[in-house]
Amino acid sequence: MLEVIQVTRCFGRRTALEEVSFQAARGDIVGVLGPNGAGKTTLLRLMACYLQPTAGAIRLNGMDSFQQSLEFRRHTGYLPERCPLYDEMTVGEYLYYRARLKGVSLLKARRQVRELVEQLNLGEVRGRLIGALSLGVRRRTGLADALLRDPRLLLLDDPISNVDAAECERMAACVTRAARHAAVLVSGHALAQLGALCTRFLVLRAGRVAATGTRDELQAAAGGASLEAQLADLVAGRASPSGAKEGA
Amino acid sequence: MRSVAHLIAWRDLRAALTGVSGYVLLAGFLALTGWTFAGLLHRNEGGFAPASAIWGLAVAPWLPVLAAAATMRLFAEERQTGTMELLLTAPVRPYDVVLGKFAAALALVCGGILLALIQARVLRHVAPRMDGGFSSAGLLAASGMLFLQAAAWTAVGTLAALLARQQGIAALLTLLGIGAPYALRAAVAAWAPGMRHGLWHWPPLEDVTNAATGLFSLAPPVLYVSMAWCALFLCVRLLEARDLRTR
Repeated sequence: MLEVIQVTRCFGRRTALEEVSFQAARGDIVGVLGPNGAGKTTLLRLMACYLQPTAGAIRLNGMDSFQQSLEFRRHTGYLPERCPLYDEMTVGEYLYYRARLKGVSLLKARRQVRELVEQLNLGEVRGRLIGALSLGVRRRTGLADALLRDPRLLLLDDPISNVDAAECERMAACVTRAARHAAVLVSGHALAQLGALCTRFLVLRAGRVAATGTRDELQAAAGGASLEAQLADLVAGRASPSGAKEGA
Repeated sequence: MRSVAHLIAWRDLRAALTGVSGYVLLAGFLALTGWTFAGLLHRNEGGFAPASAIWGLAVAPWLPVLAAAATMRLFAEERQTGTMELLLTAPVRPYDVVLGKFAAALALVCGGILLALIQARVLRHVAPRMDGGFSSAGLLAASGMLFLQAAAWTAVGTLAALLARQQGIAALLTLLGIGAPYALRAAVAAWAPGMRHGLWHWPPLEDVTNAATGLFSLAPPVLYVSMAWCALFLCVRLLEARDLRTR
């Protein structure tokens, strides 16, 4: 169980996130929606222990992200927005290196890398240098890295932007499979990107939670209006988050 | 070395030697030390200084430059490509990251010293006239002192690389960090009459000469090891200060 409790993050005088609270359980795939600058990446970086909250706490199965950072990170898989990878390594070498870095034993690392390469259809490019790969394949490699060590919390920052439909489908299947034993958070700009994949949504606007709930809850809150239009209004600040749980 | 630090060191060293930059660096270092060695030998022709001490004197001034070049990319490149985010969100301790990166850069710098040593051994065979002053013990002792200096300069470089966002700034900070204490010492000496003769004197050179000629003192090794230890400790503390990650 992931608990985000009244988390605030400031950068100097600017508040990027303000009193954000929500929970996610194993099996949940939470879509974090919002426009650019809403705080999605900051929220995911806080949960990945890359940043420290200015106030509040983040807990995963009772482990605090700050007090027990190392243990927390052992159970977290993270794919950053820019999908940074080591260009001079081949896909296979990179995944094996990352598995070992995450503390996976020698034999288990080989097995896990082999399984993930198969699941994400990376077999053909396994021996190729990462620097020569297309963005889609890089993202799949990044996703494979995030899935190493069977994380209990999987954080994917805008994983499907600039990725074609077939790639999206393949990645979605992997994420759904990973959600059997993990809480998954996927960030994106619009419901159309994440609608089919996510079981719940968290809408951020200017660093605050504008709405949260399942698709049905958000649909009920939208009344007769289209959910996409309602979410677009929420994100743009043209609608109040009545009905859906605000900052829950 | 811990296995995680070992993994990080292996990746960093591999990255340095995958392209041509690592080899260019080592070749440049060899060219400079060879040129300085030849010049110093020529100047000391008929003198009493043993060739092993002259070799040490030829290598020591270029070590800070090699350390600065080897360390400047350690963190700057990871920041630029974003892989720093991946590294710091993996379950690794800050001291594993610092130790791994330091070890990779130190291996490169020590590789440079070893190549210079091989170069000297080759010269000894090519020019047997030098044999008199070229004792193996002297060379080994000078190398030992150079390795200690390499550890200290590389640790200072690692700290500079962590502080600076750009590689050029990191290299400049390293050279300043190494030179500043000695510049300060020279500035103080300039005000003290009777000490002015030592104004242009750089103690690390003297340490190498002393070691090569069999004059051993505990002070230089303690100084270099303490310097390396302090710089690496600062690196770990800085990396633990999370706000550095957002820079």
